[in-house]
Amino acid sequence: MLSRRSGRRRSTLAILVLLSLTVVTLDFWGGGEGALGSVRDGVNDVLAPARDVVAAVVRPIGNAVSSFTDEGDLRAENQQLREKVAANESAVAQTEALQAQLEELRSLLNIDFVGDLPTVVAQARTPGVGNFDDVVEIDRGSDHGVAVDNPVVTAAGLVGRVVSVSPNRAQVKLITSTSSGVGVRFPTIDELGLANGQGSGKTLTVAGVHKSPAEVMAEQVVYTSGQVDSLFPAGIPVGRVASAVRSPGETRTSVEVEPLADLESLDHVAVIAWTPQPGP
Amino acid sequence: MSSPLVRLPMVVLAAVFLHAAVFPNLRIEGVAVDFLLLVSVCGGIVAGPERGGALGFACGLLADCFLRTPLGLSALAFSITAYCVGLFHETVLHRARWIVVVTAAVASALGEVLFVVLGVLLGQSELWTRRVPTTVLVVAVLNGLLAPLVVRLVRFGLAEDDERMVMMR
Repeated sequence: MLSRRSGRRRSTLAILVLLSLTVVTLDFWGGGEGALGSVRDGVNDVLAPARDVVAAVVRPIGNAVSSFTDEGDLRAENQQLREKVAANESAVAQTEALQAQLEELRSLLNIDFVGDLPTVVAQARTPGVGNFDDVVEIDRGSDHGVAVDNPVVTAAGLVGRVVSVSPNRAQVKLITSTSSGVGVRFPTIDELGLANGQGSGKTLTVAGVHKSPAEVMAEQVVYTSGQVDSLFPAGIPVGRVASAVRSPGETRTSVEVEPLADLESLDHVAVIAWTPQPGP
Repeated sequence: MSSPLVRLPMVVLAAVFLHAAVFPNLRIEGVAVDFLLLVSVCGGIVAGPERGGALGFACGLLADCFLRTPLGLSALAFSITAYCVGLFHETVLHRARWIVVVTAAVASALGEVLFVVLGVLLGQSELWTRRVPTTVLVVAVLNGLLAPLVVRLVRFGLAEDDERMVMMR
């Protein structure tokens, strides 16, 4: 009796594992497209409006929760916030917000470093659902011309790149993601490096720079390198050099780069219609 | 709402809404509650390995719809986790609330690790980052704290009519 029950249980587990592996295999074969891809896109798009509404309501609570858990000097932060509140009291908030939004949209339509490349302006809506990826969702998708691997920027600099697209939404992997790497160029010292993300709210790290910390610190802004097989076109501002350190006995300098785009409070972004060119 | 065939899909739909719309906005150290994993684990606690595993498969498949990882990866991890929780929980004679909390916390941690390991085995090497320990720890704590409530929710979804009358009393 007992062995029959345990046999049935093992069969159930085997069926579930086989079913899962079948779905994984079908998804691999379809390359994320096909019937399974459509189902996934459909579920995402159906829930998208509800997610936007809930995000608008819940995000302030989430920010409050985060502020309790964030490291750092809370008193100093509190003082800064008081100063900000005092400064803002004299302003007409709604008019200023609308004005700022208008300016932001104008600036996104005329970004110097994008050049002649066409762009799609989008709004950052909700953070991604998963815990293993720093992504943000935007409200434009393949119906608007957004494609996988398109770079995403603000007027200040690089935000990330599109990693998945449904008809009306796209997911953007931020440059601060721990699985993100951006080829960068230090223009005045003429050196290349790979800026790796260290997680949300943190700086990027460029390891193995040949020049001394003093020489690197003289550098103001680093740009995308645009080398062969690069994920980004050349010349997009990435970040500002925050620190450069060489440990005793080391021959290379490790550089911390502060992203220029405000990734913690993204609003409007521009998606550049550019995809990486395969090398020869 | 007399049949589990009606109640369970409603519970799962509510769980999907919480998982995809609410909890991603409430993060601690950048990590959110993995609510569909928690529902799967609670399915194992409430309904045993077979029905728990099946619920885990369904929840995992829905969770996959919001991720970039291959469809079926969460289904695989969640169903195995829920199945093992069901097997383990049958051996527990003393059903105190803290046991549910600890079981859910440990199972959630193992479920997250299983997701990453299976993902890496299936070619998703970018899942393996320095953030994994933090993510596993925070998910374990948050899921553990929510477990007593979610167990009640899953029990409501799975209970037959006569059981439900006893449960509601």
